[in-house]
This record gives sequence, C-alpha cells and structure tokens, in this order.
Amino acid sequence: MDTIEIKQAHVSDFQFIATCIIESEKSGSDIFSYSAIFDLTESDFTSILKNIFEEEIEDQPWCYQHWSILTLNGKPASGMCSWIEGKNEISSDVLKSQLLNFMIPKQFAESMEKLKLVSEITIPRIKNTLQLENLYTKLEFRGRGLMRKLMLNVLNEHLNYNAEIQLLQSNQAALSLYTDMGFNVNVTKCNEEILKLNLLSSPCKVSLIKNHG
Amino acid sequence: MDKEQIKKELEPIFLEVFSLDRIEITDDLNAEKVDRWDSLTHLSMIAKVEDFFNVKFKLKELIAMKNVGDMIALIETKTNA
Repeated sequence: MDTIEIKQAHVSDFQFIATCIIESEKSGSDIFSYSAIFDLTESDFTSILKNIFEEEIEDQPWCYQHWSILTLNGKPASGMCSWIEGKNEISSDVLKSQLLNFMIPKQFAESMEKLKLVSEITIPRIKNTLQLENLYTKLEFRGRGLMRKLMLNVLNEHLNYNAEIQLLQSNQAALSLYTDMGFNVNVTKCNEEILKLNLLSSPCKVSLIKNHG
Repeated sequence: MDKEQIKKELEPIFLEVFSLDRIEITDDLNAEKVDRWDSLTHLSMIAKVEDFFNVKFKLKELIAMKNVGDMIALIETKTNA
C-alpha cells in the first residue's frame, strides 16, 4: 500500500524544489530559459536560486513557504508553488525580477534585449488570485494522478480565491490536465522571435483561470 | 531634498522609462496605474532613480516599496542623511 503525504516545503527540500523549477521551466524541452537568457548553467542557476530562497521573500514563487510537496512512500514525487498575487500591493513578477537583478546584476544588464523580447509575452497576473506555478512530477512517478492530488489539496485550501496558472503553450500534457480540472484559457500571447533565438520552448504563453465555487 | 523637489525630479524619469507624454507623480502611484509599468520597466526606473539621486536601495527596501510615496520617503531619507 502506497503512502502519500502532502507537506509544506522546508529548507531540506531545496534540491527537489530546484528540480521542479528547472524542469517545469523547460516544459519537457531541452531549453532552459534562465540559461538561454542569462547564459547561466543549471548549476549556476541553482546556486543563485538557493541564495534567493534564503532571503525568505514572500508573495513570489521562490520562497519555501509557498511550496507544497507530495511524497510517495517518503520520497518527493511532485512539487508546486502557490501564492496570492499582489497581497502586499507588489506584483510577484516585479519581486522576482528584483531578486534576480539583485543577485546577478551584471548578467541582468547584459541580457536586457533578450528580456525585453520575452517580456512581450508576459501576461500580467491577476491580483488577488491564487497563483500556481512550477508544477512538476518526477518522471518515474507520473501516470498515478499525483499532481492532480497535489493541486486539489492546494485549491481546497484556497476555496475563496480564483486560481490562475501560466505556462508555455508547448506543454500540451499540462494544459490538458489543467483544463480537465476546470481551468479555462484566459489569455494567450505569442512572439515568434522568441523561438528563433531559442529563448523558450514555445513562442506562446497561456494564462488559464479557474473560478472558485 | 524635500518631497516636492523629489516629485519634480521624478517626473522626467517616469516619462522616459514608461514612454508617457504626461504623468502626475503622486504618493499612491504604482504599477497598476501605469500601462507600461512591468517588471523590466520597474527595474529600469529604479536604476535611473538611483543614478539620478546618487542613492542605493537595499534589497529589503526594494521589496517593501509598494508605491511611489514609499520610494520618495526613502530618497528623502537617503539624500538628507
């Protein structure tokens, strides 16, 4: 009999969280946006991410407090982060950019043109919605409905909020799961130049919404 | 430098960064009230403000900045220190 547990993440979960972030950003491709944009290796990025998590800045995705992890027989299998957008009047995208800019100012300044291109498909997050991000299940644990369980757990803890997920359009498996769970496409933004420069695995970003109740 | 002077100096910076023809710098001005105020233009605005007023914001100050009023108060403190 399998034992499934869902817990809030702790410092000791950092490596699994980093895997969730890197693999979900890749959306099943080989293109890791932070490497493509800032010319960082995955190892460099992981070190920077650790420093950012240590700052414990809430209301943006890179904070232990906002991460939920599902373990299967004691092993981390699925992870995701969730937060209420704009709770303190500052958008999570601004907070995250400030953190990155603070940690890697030189790379940030040198990557401005690429960032401007990527920002053309940025979809402003809706204030006071539950944001779900970096959802990932390890390959060996897929096909068991674990992510659905984790998502339902998080959604049920925030029944008074509409929920939003943003992802790249190329991630059809994830899109299919989210629409099956009641999310509907709200906005799609595309820029083909992004694909030509291999900055992201898809030229289109999609925002999906699930209304509460 | 007092608050009114700071507001006056901020105006051309905001016009340039957010590509606007006119703007009224008020304490409650924030990203929700300006179309082109996103994460990148925000960083550009902060960099220009730091450069112009010759100040440097700490990370904890940056992440606590909810509106222009918060930024003006910090500039006032730092320029009068």
